[in-house]
Amino acid sequence: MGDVVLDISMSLDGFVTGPNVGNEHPLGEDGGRLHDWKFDRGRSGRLLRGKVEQA
Amino acid sequence: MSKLRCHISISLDGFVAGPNQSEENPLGEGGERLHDWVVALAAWRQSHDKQGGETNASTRIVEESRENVGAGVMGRNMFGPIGGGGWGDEQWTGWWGDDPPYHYPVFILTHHPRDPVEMEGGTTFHFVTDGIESALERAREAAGGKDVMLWGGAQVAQQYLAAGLLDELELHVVPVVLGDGARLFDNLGDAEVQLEQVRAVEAPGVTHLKYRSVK
Repeated sequence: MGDVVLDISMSLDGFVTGPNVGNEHPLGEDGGRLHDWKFDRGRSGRLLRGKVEQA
Repeated sequence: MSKLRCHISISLDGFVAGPNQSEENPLGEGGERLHDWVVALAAWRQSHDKQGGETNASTRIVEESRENVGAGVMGRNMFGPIGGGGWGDEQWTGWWGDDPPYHYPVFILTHHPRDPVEMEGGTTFHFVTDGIESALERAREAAGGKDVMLWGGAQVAQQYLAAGLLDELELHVVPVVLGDGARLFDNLGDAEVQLEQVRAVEAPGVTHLKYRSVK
């Protein structure tokens, strides 16, 4: 049987999106930084400090 | 340059202690599991008068954490006893017996003044009542050019993080979900915390992530 896998980017303080998720910010404010690593355009070790969705 | 370093075990959901800390559960309910990886190591057991233990990828991490440290800073809640308050009969000298595993001066942040307590093996506990900057300044002076280790707990680590005074943060991330307790990354206000990853080491039951503060 296949496993169920969760593979997700998370900030050091445990958020998987920033605050105020909406059409303008699909990943929340500043949430795009969580995916910088995939696009080789940033550094890791970020704190989002949003208070919306805690993983 | 003398660095302020913090090396701390943390659950996957971001807690450095479990809920309901007490005399029986100083690390809160379930909190002991955060340290399973380290108490299994020979390197840790030797320094805590215990026999045996294993050697693995975490051994080097523990050795590294002890290198070039000349003084420590610690919160009152970590020093104990649980509940805080005045020092009463002054019998309390920490959780670590007569010969604590520090072997350098440790500065305890507290609201309650107390004379320094000299322990065996080179550890002296100093009690600082005028804030985190003062404690760091005194620790730096005592460290004589070496680094200062910030031992925690969560509240004190948050204060140093928020003040931008922490130079190095090493998280020992343990695959445990505590659900409640003392969160490390909390009460940071509007502080801009910018960290840069230095290295990651995978070891049995833990992943060691080292960050440096970008100032």
